[in-house]
Amino acid sequence: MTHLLEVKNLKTHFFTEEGVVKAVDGVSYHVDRAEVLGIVGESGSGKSVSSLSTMRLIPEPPGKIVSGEILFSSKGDKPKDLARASELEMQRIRGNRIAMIFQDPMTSLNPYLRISRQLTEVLELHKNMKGNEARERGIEMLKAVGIPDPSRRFDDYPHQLSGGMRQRVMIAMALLCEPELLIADEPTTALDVTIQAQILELIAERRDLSKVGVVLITHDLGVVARLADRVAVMYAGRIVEQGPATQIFKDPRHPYTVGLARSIPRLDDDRSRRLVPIPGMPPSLAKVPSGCPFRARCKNAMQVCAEVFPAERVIPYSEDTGTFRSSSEGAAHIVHCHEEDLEKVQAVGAT
Amino acid sequence: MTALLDIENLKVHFPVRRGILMRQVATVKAVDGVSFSVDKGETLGLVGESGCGKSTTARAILRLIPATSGSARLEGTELLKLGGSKLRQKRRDMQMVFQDPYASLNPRMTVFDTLAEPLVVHGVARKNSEVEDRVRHLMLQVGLSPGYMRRYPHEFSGGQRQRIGIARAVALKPKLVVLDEPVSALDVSIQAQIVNLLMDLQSELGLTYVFVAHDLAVVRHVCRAIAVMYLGRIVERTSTDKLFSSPKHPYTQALLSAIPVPDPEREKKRKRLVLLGEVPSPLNPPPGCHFHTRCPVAVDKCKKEVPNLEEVEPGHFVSCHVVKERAGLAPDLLGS
Repeated sequence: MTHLLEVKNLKTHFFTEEGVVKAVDGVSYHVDRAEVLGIVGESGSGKSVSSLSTMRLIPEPPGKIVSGEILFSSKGDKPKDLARASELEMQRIRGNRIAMIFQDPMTSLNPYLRISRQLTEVLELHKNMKGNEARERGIEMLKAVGIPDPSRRFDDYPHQLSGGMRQRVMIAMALLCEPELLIADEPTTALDVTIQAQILELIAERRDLSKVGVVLITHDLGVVARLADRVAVMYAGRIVEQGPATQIFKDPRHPYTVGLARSIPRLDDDRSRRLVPIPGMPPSLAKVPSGCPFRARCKNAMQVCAEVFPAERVIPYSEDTGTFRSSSEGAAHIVHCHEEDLEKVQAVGAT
Repeated sequence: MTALLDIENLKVHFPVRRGILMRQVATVKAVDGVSFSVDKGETLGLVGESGCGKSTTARAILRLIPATSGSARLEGTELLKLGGSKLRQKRRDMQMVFQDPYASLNPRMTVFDTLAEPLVVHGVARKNSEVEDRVRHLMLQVGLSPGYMRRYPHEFSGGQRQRIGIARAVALKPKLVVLDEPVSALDVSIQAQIVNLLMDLQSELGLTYVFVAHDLAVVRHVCRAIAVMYLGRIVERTSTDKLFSSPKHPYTQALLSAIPVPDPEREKKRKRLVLLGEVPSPLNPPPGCHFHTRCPVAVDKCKKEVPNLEEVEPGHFVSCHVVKERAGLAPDLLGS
């Protein structure tokens, strides 16, 4: 089966005066319909750049997709390589077949235009809708994302809405043309937890009802656990581990994934447990070390880690995985680490 | 044991002025009658969503913004009435760590300047060699190499900057440190380093913390007691263990259920209480219990009468008519 989106060995580099910043350096993943892929990583891990590359929103220069393929198969058509698509082709896809939600709803809505104008513009452009037809469709969409009194809100300016409402408007705008793929870049980071819960429910509903494929970019492991079917963990421009969410959380195999899980306090653990931080900090993307980028912070680093980036290794499932909700949960669990001894991997950060 | 910090009925109201004459047209009751106390060496967590007044409360205690009424006593000294040199002296005992390590350090001052200033101002160290020794010691204490003493903030990462901010706060060996979202601007893998540092410093120096945060998982880990705020008022206050094992206020229950747990299997099974709507504007809060507009169990009384914060079980304070009427029994919203 062809995937809705398949990214193969994508490299996006920025050519700056300080040198080449390898923001994304050989990343492969896919998303299917009605599936949420969570991309987890810290700031500077390249998670946002990888999705901006998919939308072809990388400022060029200084940025450039150096190599790789971004295969998108709209409505089951033959896959199209977005990395080589023309700007005109991208304009037909962007906001129409693939839509994006950004972290900060205040800066991504135009403060000078009413909500109504910003919503109907999308419909005029992509769906050739005009006047009352577009207006009705816009109001309908505001209602679908849970904005109370949508016909009155429709003519508001962004500043008249709260943060949660603005994020709903952003989502409404993204969903107007019934996209097949939704890229959500930290969609709830700027919101309070009770509002975050509402927005996550809304995204899950779109996945289940409209069969939208979702790329969810976040640093919050809790958000990923709640929503994602599969997870990819990024570190310094690379995906170091990916697989079904249940598997990644239950049986993490990369020292970075293990370290992340151990360094965060959780609501369901022993309160007096001392947190185990990952020592050091992520490398600058302009000076990513050779071999495995995590080696400077890794307790198990060996000679070979400094030489080559580890090839992918498929991890068999742990026995008590149970039944899968969907085919995506049966996807392969892949890790990039030279250390195969699980006990050693789990010793990361321990003192 | 007597409390180190004792807050009683603290109110911070801001006037809203309009027009050429700047007539006062409304009042924002950012903090509206907050009471709590913190014992020496303990940590109290002040939690709630944006706009609930948690930061305003913290800042009013430190006299960074003027309180409207109420009392705040540090070891029996009324802080809200102190003035001039007395207040300046008292500031030695109460320090603050801010959220944004990029905005809270002066970019034109080296680490040495930043850390030496409080020592010199308060006359703790006078001779140059003495000051340098103290700064060196402080840097080691927060896990920074003293070799970086002459560097500027921009040369450090976010986590390192937060360490500088913490060193500045503990430089004068204060009694009380207010931590306003000290880790929320940091990357996840760095947060744990700072949380551990704060806990180590607390036991080393016998510090008392007021920890303002929205991340309940971090608060649970750091604090012995927690006060949950909603629109300027405390809705529930108790020990951390009690708050998480048996939350009583409907808002606390909703807040806890909204936080995702990093475990997909548990997430699938968890019952969730998703609150409708949003926090109302503090400019025009609903009458009675501020939470009644979003509360799933609100009764008529909630729309009219403000519930008092009452002790429904030993050490467990809740302000909710419904909980009180059921003799301290929490509504079972999560069906657990």
